[in-house]
Formats: sequence, C-alpha cells, structure tokens
Amino acid sequence: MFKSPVAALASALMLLIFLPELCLTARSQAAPSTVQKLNLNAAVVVDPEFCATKIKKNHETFEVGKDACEVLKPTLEEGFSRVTSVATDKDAVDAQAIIMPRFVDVSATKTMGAFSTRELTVLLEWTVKNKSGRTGWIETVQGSGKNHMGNAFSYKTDLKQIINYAVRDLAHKSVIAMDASPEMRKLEQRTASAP
Amino acid sequence: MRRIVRGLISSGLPCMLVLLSFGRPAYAGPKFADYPQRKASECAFKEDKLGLVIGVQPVEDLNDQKNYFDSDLTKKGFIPVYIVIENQSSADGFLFDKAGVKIGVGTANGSGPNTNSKSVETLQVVSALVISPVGLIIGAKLAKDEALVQTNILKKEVQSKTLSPGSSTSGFLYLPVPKAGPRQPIHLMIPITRSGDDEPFNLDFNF
Repeated sequence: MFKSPVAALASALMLLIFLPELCLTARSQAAPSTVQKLNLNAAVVVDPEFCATKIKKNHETFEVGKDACEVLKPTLEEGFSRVTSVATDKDAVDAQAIIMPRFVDVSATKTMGAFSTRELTVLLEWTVKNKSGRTGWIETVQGSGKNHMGNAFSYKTDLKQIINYAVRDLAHKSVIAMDASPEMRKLEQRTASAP
Repeated sequence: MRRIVRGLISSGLPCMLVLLSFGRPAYAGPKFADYPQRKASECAFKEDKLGLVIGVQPVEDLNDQKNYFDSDLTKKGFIPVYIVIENQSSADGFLFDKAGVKIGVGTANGSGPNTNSKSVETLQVVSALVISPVGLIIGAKLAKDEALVQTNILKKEVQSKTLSPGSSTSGFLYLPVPKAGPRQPIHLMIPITRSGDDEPFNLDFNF
C-alpha cells in the first residue's frame, strides 16, 4: 500500500492530526431527535428582514438569517403536524400557532492556527402566539457549531459551514424545546377542544 | 535531489503539523468559574407576586467579576446583576420577556412593588440602551481571549423564557452604569406576564 516506510509514517501522522478534527466536525452537526409532533397548524413568520439578518461582531459578519430561512421550516415540520411559512403574522390566517423567531446575538471564539477549532454560538428567541394573538410561549434557544477554521483561502467556506452547523443545532433544539413545553401542549389541547 | 525534496515533503510537513498539534494544548486561555446557582431567597433582594419569585444579586466585587467574567465590567460601564426567577405556583405559567426589562438610575426608594412610583417615568428599556456588553469588551488581551470572554458573557446572560409551574431560570443582566465615580442607586423593573393574561405585572428592585 505504501511505497516507503516514510510515506507510511507520514500517512499515520496525518491521520493522527486530522482524526480529532474530523470527529469534531461530525459532532458539530446536530443529531436528529425523536419528538412527538404537536397537532397544530403552525405558521412560522420569516420576513425578508429576518432572512437578511447579518450580525457583525469583532470585524466579522455572520450571515445567520439566510441559513435560518432555509433550515427553520423543514426542521419545524418535524415538530408540528403542519407548518407554513409566512412573511407577516397577518398572513397566518388559518394558523393555530403563530411562531415568530428573532435573533438575539452571536458570539464566536477565535483560532490561533489553521487547524484549531472554532465555536460559534447563536441565540434565537421564539415567541408563539395563539389564533387570537395572545403570547403563549416565549423561549430563547442557543445553538452552537464547532469546526476547524482552515486558512485564509478557505475562510469563507469554513465560516459558512460553522454558521450552518450552529443554525441546524438551533433549529433542532427549538423543536425539542417546543415539544417539551407544557404551555405548547396546553395550546394543542385548547385548540383540539375548541369548536 | 528529487529524493531529498520528496523526503522533506513526506517527513518535514507532517513533523511541522505534529509540532503545531502539540503546540495547541500549551496555550492556556482564560478560565471562567461558573457563578454558583442560588435560590431567590438567598439573593440580596427578593420580591414575589402570584407565586412568581424573583431574586436579584448585583455582582459588584471586582474580584468576583474577574473570577466569573475574566473582565472588569464596572470599568467598562456595566454592572452584572444575577437574577433568578422561580415559578412556585402549581398551576400558572409565567412569561419573562427580557426585552421589557427597564432600568432607572438614581431613583432608589427602597425595594418593593413600586409600579405607581414617579420613578417609573425615568425608566428606560435596558435592551434599547444596550443589548449586552458582549460587543463592547475590548481589552489589552489577545484577540482569542477577548472572543472567549465575549462568548462567556453571552452564555451567562439571562434570556427570555416561559416558566412552567415549578420551573426556574437564572442568569445575568448587564446593566449600564457610569464608568467612573460612585455608582448611583439603580431601579430595576422586571415585567412578568402570567400565561393567559394580556397585561404584564412588574416586580421592582432598588439597589
């Protein structure tokens, strides 16, 4: 397999160095969890402003809105019987639960070298209103993503990747939080018993 | 010659990477102690209404700030205030919306429910003044340390939450104060909405 002992040694060393990084990257992606779907017709409000959210921190710009708009609806579908995406809460005519996300903040660690890992933390606040517009649930969910940050040439790709990991983690944790909430279950019961 | 170059590439590069890899753990970043969890009854200030109890503990000691945040927040214009909110009701849920927290400076009249006080007129929404000091922590540290300090401050911040019966939440509010001179009294107003109600009620603290 290897032409010389030096090549074999080099390959083993490379594996030794990069294996932890590969494992870390794999861990950064949120594992899917089993949830008992809420029997609610939900509308998630993702307006163009939310989808364009860019948070600047320490001379870096984190374009979290774009990924969130792609990820939130399909992930929320794991937690609700039906999910539609609307631009404003007024468009949620038939919805039994109006779900409104808002970015709170982001924070990212910095790296000292090309192969060191970086962690991005994203905070998203959820407000859920019932059909009459009354707030029934509010929660802040923290998502995090870890990845190596590469070098100057791969910076943009690596940054996009870490944002994607953090947003996916955020979306999964949000569904779990909604599913586990007694207030959301109460809303489900009230909706079911309403004429 | 080709053999030498090949040897250098196949052995020198991995050796360099190994050195880099071993070099990483040698770097020690800042250490942050977890703020000890405490009950509302153990805090310096405590108020309750309808089974909802809030404890407030300002962290003014500079050694404590160094220990928990690795930063002198007071010098940067903030005072970290630990708050713990306990829902001791067996039936009602409560909503804590951080966006509604208000602060008045120089208006202390003693702790207690104080919604009709004139001091309320001087209150300002904390989130409108500054969301958090996360983006303002700039010190003479390495950039990596600075980012870790920011992340720690963000993770310790209290966030909006629904409190189901028997549940609680805690964390820090970072209240803006003058960077220099003695601190003026602070009036903190925390709005809480009982699940199902339209209007929130306020719990006021003066310290």
